[in-house]
Amino acid sequence: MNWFLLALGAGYLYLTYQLPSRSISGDPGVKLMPYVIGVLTVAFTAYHTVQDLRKSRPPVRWRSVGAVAAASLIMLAYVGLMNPLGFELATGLFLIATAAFFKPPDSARAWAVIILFAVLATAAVSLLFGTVFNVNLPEARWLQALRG
Amino acid sequence: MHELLSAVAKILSYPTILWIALGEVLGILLGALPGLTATMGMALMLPISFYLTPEASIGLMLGVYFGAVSGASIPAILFGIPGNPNAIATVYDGYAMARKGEGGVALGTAVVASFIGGLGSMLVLFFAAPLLAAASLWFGPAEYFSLAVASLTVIAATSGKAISKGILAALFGMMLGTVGIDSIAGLPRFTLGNIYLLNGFSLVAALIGLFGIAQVLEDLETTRKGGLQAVIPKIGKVFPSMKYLISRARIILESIGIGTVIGALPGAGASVGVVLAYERAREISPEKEKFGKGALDGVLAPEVANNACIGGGLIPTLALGIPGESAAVMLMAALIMHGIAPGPMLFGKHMDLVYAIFVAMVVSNICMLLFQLGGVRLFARALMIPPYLLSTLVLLLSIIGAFALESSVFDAFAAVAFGILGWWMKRAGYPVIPLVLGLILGPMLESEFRRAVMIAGTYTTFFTRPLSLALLAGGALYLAHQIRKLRKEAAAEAAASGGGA
Amino acid sequence: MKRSGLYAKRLSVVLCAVILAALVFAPAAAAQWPDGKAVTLVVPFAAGGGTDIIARMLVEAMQPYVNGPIVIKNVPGSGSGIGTNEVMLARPDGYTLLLSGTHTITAALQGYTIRSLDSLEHVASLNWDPYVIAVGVNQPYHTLEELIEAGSAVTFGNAGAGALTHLISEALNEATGAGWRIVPFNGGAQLIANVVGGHVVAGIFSQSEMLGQLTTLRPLAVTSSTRSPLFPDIPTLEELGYTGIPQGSFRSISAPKGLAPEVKQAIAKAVYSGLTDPKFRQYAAENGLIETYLEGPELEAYYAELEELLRGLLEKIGAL
Repeated sequence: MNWFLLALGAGYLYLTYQLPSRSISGDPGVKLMPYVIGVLTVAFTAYHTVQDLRKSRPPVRWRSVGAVAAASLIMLAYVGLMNPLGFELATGLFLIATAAFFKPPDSARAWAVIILFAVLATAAVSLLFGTVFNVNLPEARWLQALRG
Repeated sequence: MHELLSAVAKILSYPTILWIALGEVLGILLGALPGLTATMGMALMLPISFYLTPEASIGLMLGVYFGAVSGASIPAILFGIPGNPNAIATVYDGYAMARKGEGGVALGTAVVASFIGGLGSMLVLFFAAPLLAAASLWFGPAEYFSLAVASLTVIAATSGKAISKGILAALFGMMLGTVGIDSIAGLPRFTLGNIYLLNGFSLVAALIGLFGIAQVLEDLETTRKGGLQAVIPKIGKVFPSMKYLISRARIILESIGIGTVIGALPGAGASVGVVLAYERAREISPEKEKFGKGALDGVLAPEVANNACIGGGLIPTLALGIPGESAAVMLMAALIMHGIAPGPMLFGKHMDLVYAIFVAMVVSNICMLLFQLGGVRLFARALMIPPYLLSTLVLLLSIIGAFALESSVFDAFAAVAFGILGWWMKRAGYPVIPLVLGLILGPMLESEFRRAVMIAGTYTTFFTRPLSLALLAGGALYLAHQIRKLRKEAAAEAAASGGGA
Repeated sequence: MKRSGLYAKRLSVVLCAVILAALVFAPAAAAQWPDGKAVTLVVPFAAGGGTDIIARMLVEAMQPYVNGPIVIKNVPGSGSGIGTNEVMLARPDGYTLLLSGTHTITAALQGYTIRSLDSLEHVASLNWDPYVIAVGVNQPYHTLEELIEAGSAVTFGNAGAGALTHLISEALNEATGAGWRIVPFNGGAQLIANVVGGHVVAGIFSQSEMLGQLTTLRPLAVTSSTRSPLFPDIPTLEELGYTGIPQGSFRSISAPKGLAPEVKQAIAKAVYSGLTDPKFRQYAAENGLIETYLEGPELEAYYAELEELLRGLLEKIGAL
């Protein structure tokens, strides 16, 4: 986290420096607050880094990091596919993939449970959000094309 | 008195009362679904309300509003997702209780707390609206800046031992808050050329990611090992005892006070109110050491405060015609459609309507209590779903919720990114709430600072305006007090461990 | 598309409000263009704002003249840029329309949309919504002239940086040579609180905001070229001799470029029917909207003129 914050603070300060200095009369300017935030971030992070060097760090558990990365990828794929596939199909696939990832199914019955769950949850969510509350859920381009 | 009675008769008449009940059900449902807000529901009802009497239309709107704010506690407690900013402080202890199998009583307490908060702020509104409204006008840019500074100080100072990590998290939040079109010069900043970033990061996407998704990611390993067992909630007892409520009278009263005052300041927002109420309760609660691990007081205080914020928010809306937040804008729109302009004239000219609003508030709170009473037992059963499916469902609701607010795929991506960030922060020992408040208060702090300097033409304005100075001094004193307390604790600890060795 | 039709049905079931639904989606008279399919009107602002309410009232007035439901889709964000983008990228079949106007021009010019204004086709215009210039009642200024004379002692608030109210305040400051100190706020509510609370001297308000503050704000001028029906005693800027200032917020209906001429004609006709419907006219009069119906080349020319004016102002405030 320390290195991330240091890099972030530095990058932020660089971007602030790059901002055009447009300001209206009497305005302290668009750069002032970002500079203050950036400098404070770098200062506090530096303090932390020094403090942490004195402590021993617990080893990173890479297995759990891998699992989080995989789950995140599934979520990102879902969001990315929402528009091309349409809401219902993307959601169904996402639910099956995630549930199967959380608890790998070991029997036909387990698969059936997951698929039933996916269908029911997709129907419930699109009914509540899409129909009752009129949220514009993504509709598949290919479906639109089929319908003309 | 006569006007009050006629208002009661009007609101209690059929079909007005039916519209209130309908609004309430709709509101609870909206609040319970992440990403759907009171504002959205009220906008949907706006064309319908046009055809109702003014009383029924206000009742419908207030029903949706109160319902949504109290409904938001349901996903916060059951799944750890604050569906909207009102519920951010309820997540901690409410969710911790749900995981211990005490979800039923957490939900029940949230309902009763919402009821008390709603009624309490109604009484304040009834007796002191014009007075408080006038006071809210003392707040100019300089005062709002100082208020934001003081709030951030209080929140950072209560991060406990991780105080410097709390400050860093708040700074990171403020950094994210500067993304988008800057509100004084109109210049896009840090958007990296992305038009979806021109409005900055969506607060709801951030909340959903940092709390809901991050929690699932954190539990991932346990879930996959099948270790996280379905909790069988003790549904038998859902309501807090009268004895408990009476013993917490001080927390309740202070939370009503905090909620109403913060709600009455347009722009400060309920999220700040609930966090301040939560922190205050942590100070004065007899079970302070349980806070964050499932303290009932940690559910009570923010839930009282967020419904009190509604009443508070109605003060400038009705008495000044200045809506403090988007839901209040809808309420105003409903009134304007009926040819009633909220504002300074309302309290003189339309006293009958003002009374009708008060009565509608009471009735809609009673409806909320009744519906939620029935609902709580039902909702708590959601926890009996097997954990791997429940976690999947939480991810789905999080992503849809982030998407739903503005039908934005970009916001859904942002929620996932915030989820990963939240997971990482937790692992590294950084608190999340300061980040959220940095994101909310950062833009307010910056724009009010610049505005105040533009108006006054000098940087000293923050110290020469009495109210602004008082707020800044208050924040500084609190910080000093907190640091001294921490020092003392550290010294005591050192002494204890020294004695042991 | 199917979803929107179902929405009407399900909502009524859920709400037990069949009669109301019937009112909203009344049986349609026959017309060529909608062909029973739902038409989406994109409102590039959040639900409940001034533009959104106008859109909702218009749709309700138009509905009886259109064969198929018209559905409002709020796509807020980036000063109307996100919603405008969506329409710019849609198919020009007449089933995706945009509630456009001065906000569309400022958003496109400032680069908040991916494509330029040329990718839109303007079908019909609706109205001008003028602003009111006012001071707090405790201020010593009773006419615009007095406010101008006070010069740099005056702090003048508007509802947002780069927004139309900001451009108008700057244009007015320039035209009058007043030298006021212009301070942008975050939206109208915050601006009212600051003028009523005496933190700034003057400001520019929407008419509905002004109506709610008649005892706390003193109107000095309206921005439209004709007097507003709501404030018949308040002079216009033009009467006071100041020109080259946008009249307020202009609103129209636009579509992606490339509409078939007969579809464009049909949409314009439906908009005209809605706009001149007695119910909408009554609403417009009560809210001070100045009906301005234009279509075809006339409207395109009007748009070009507005674009020129706003481009100049945006350059002046340094936003381009």
